Amino acid sequence: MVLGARLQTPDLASVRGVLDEALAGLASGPSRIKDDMILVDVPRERLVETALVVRDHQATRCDFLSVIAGIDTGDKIGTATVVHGVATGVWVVIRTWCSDEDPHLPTLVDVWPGANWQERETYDMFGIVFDGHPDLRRIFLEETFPGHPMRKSFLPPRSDARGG
Amino acid sequence: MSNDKPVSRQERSVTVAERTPAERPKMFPTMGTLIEHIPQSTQAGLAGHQPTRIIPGLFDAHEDNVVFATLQGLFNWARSRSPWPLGYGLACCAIEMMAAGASHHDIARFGAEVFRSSPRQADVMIVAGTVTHKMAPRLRRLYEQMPEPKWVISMGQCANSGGEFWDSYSTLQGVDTVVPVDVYVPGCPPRPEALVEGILKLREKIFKGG
Ligand code: SF4
Repeated sequence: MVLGARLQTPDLASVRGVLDEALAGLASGPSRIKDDMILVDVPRERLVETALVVRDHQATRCDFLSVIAGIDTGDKIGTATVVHGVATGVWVVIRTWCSDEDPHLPTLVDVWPGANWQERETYDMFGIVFDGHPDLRRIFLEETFPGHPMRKSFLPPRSDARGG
Repeated sequence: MSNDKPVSRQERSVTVAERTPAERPKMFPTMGTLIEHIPQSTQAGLAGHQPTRIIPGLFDAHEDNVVFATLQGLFNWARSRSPWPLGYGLACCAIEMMAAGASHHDIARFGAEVFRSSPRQADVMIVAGTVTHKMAPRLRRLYEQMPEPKWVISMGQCANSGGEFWDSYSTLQGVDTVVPVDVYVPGCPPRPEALVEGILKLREKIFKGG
């Protein structure tokens, strides 16, 4: 999958090696290459540090936040933060997990300001609370909406139950 | 009007196509016949909906072009000829609404081309698109800001019943749960012709005093 035109074709294997060295002690394990992207799993305590490395490291320089997607596997929830280095042509996916009982993740607004609305959307749809977010409100649904509709545990209210 | 018996309301509401001039009830002795004085263009407009019923007394034209009509009938006639819509495009249906307003379909032919951006200047709210629960209070407020008399056309299956977003968590299941709807235009999206048909139906309704 190619997500965008590149200025140069990065040597993903070597970038991955360099990144793994830089992320030693931060990431949960070695990164993987998946569909032209480098996939890093990090524990949530290390998320911001990892993001800073991915943003500032010479090999990646991921200055462009593409998307923060929510994930619900059924037993855990999390986010996949897809970032891109415009100069290096590298795509990196940073995955973090939290649980239903404790749906808290650190915010990435200080790393990529564009994360603001992305995290609001993820909060709206998945109910993940981003600690430290400056303005964590629902972005699409009304404030009175019951629950978070993209969660697997969410049962859509029957239309007649909502007055339709 | 000495010789003539008073004409009942039903009798005066004649079907133009059904009666010859001689058969038409005389409202006033000096009156000309009913239909001849109506401009040709108006007759053509009326003929779209057979059988054409004339509002009692509306087109009793004098030879000197004096028109007698009930005030309400006159109002209805005027209102039905210029239903200005409130541009309420919410989703894909709005594109077809715009197409209906553009030159090819040109709803200016039916006096409905003046899309107002303010509800205070509009007569008809054309709800064209998907209404979410978040939008519903705004829609209601805009409806309430429209001056009386006002009408609502629900355009497309989303506005009619939720359409393809039936039973979704965020979509209103029919705009008639929020505002009273006069005309439903089915389709996903309805073609501009369908919207034009809806506007014609609404004109008919307004003309009949709705
Ligand atoms: S009825 Fe169809 S075309 Fe119209 S707004 Fe809904 S989905 Fe779009």
